[in-house]
Amino acid sequence: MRALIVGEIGGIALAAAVGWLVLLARWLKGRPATGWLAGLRQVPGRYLVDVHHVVARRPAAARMHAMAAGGVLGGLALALLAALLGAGGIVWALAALAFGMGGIGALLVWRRRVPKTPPALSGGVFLWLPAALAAWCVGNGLAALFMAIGASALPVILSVVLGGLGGVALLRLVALGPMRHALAGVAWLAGHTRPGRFSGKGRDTGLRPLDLAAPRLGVLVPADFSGPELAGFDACIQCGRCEEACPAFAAGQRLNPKALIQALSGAMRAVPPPYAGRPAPSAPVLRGKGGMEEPIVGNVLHRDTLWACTTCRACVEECPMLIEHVDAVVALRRGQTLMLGATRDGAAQALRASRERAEPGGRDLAARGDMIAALDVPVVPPGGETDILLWLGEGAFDARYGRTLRALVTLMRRAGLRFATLGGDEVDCGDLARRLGDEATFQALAAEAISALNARRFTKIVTADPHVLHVLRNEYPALGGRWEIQHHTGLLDELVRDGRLRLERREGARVAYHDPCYLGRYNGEIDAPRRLLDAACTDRVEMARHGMRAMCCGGGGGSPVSDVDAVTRIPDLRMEQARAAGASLVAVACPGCTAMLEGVTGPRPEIRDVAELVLAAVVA
Amino acid sequence: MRSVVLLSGGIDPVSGRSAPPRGEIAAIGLALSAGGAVGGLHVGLPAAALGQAAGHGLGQIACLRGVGDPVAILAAHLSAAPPDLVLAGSRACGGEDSGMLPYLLAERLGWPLLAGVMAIGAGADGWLPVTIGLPLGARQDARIRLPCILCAHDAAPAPPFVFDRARRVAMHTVAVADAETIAPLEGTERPYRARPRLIGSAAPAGGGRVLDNPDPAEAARVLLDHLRALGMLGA
Repeated sequence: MRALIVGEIGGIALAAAVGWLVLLARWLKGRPATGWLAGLRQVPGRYLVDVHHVVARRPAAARMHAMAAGGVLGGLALALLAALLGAGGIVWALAALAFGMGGIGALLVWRRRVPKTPPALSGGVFLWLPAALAAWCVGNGLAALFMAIGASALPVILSVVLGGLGGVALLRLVALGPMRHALAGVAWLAGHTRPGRFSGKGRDTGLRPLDLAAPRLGVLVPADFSGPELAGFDACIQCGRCEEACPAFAAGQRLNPKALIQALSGAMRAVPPPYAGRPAPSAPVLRGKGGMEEPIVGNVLHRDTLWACTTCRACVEECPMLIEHVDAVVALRRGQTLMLGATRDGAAQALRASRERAEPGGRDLAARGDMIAALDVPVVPPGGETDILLWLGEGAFDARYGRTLRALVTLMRRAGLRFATLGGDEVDCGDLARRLGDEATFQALAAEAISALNARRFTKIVTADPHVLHVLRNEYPALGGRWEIQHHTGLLDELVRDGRLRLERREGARVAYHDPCYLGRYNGEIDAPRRLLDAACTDRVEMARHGMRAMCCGGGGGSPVSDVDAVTRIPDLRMEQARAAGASLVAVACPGCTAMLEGVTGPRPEIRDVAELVLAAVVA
Repeated sequence: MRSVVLLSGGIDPVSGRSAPPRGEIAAIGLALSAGGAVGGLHVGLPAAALGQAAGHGLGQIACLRGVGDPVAILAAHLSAAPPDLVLAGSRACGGEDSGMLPYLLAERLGWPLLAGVMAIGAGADGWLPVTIGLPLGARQDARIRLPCILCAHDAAPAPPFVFDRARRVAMHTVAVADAETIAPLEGTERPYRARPRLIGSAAPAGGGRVLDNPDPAEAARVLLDHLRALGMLGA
């Protein structure tokens, strides 16, 4: 009997291992990654800490997964142990207990889609998953139980047959998708492209520089992705948390992050398994022939999908498998932009202006300071010195955002700070070009900005633009630019804390703070603006989606210049959320958010930058 | 069909940085639409704008290195191995660029020239059909004998910029015989000053006539007289 059980459970485990190697062989056709398999020893930690941390945001899902996965694997290990070592009834009983837990897990998996599959979850073969899990757990659990109590051969054999059928079904579900995450997840977690995200090391959000001399720039075919990235696409369990968080999906643009990852996973296969989740709005799943050397965009992925992404990272924040959707989008955009020039018209104009005028709006760099001209902010010349370098950013050309900058400058003056701007030597930081996939223009702009900054002495850079903050803080270091960069809300918070600015709370509007993606999710700065608002306003409320899980305004990633079709506008959705929170004023901290939210028509809450609200509350 | 696109060391009018002028990008687009071999031609040392222009679809660019009048250098080079088609932008944006180069070149080569070209069709029997862009979006079809010089309309479709093409361009320098020198342009440089708009001078003269419930024959006669006065119906 023991040999039978070893044969059945061990056989299934061995088949799963072979299946993993088959998948691995496909992933290895991608670009090579160093130290990938060495990362295997970090998988248990990453799985039990980081993955669980995300899964546990939905406790019911965490319970279901802990019981199902724990039961399937724990029962397998204990039963093999008992059968191989000839251990006593107690180990068999423990194995039966574990399988029993797995059986309850299977029940919870079943409850997830019964009576009705929630819209974000995939159906199709997923509906067979609870049956396969149940057969495996119940069959093997009964076999272990019969072994524990020393029952006769027939019930054990029947149970083993049931468990074996369940095991075969689970293996089939690996090929079809639902169980693939278990095997692919191991490879993805071992070779994760952003190791900085794990074990409390902090966050890792900057895009990596591209070698512009490489023969293929970016991604055109699946083989252009690195091996671990391909494993990451296969690791998707189609839970749909990403699509629930995606602003482009909510606005009816042709992007569904889940469908995108499934398309990339399917792109590796000549005949992709059918996808039974929601497709991207107005963009049914393309039925092109996949393959490691077959083009992705226009073949298995709708062209507009790429340009709808605002790079807000909401999907990445929600993904329990820690998949890097935004990296995939940018890699694909790099291929389209650099290798084919296939950008949207508006984006092509912005990129041309970035190339030829060092400014995506095509405006004269010397005019950047016009909005604060009346305040006589000094310009630090090359070789000059100042305490704080004020980086004005693209928003400075906008009259509305000029008010914010004037408020900031006035506050810095009040606090007695010494600061200056780069004047006409401030080029665009390259954020837009980089997000649109034009790495060449980004690197050219970055080199110019870095040399302009290196030619001056200062203690830190302050900017009111979170996109500038992110690029300078997280992306310039790889290109040789390292300075202390501070967002204006961080600086003002510091000034208030040190008593250099004294605030008196103003009554009146009920304020909701809208977190900019590039300040919150990209840089983890969600507290300083709130402290400032609490010091400046009497009544502050939170929107349902706030902090690290806030919703994007729609202004990032070159989405506005790409001008993609939509059913509604993303800022309209965000404004609706502010209304639902009862806010009569939305506090912002980014020129992009300001412009997008100010663009919402009809009666709506006022839009004020945190700096403007602080200036209104300052008393000394 | 072998086409040559004339490229300048373009400068962006706002930033002063090197950039191919819009018309030259459109000229590259016209050359590509004509089919056949397309090459870029520049008089002077390789400039940064040339690489950017190449990104719009040029595989190779020849830089003619000689001293003297660029029109003479171009004419000598082009008449040595005449292409079927020479394309240029309407206007360069650098220091002494006057926009006269294609016309002077056409005069020297004795080739026909058409300016404001929006599109070109399929050539046959040594003739090339082209579409000319006129003000207010009007279009006019014409045909021109090959070889010829075409100046692209600034609004002609521009091929997209592809970084991969820009970095792969084969740029070679061709040493050519020096040509006669031209006298440097004399003039003074002064900052741009916006001029007040001269109201009224551009408005059409005369108020016309108002006919109140006229006889149809009388109305027709007045209209015809008016159109003749404008020169739209001949004498």
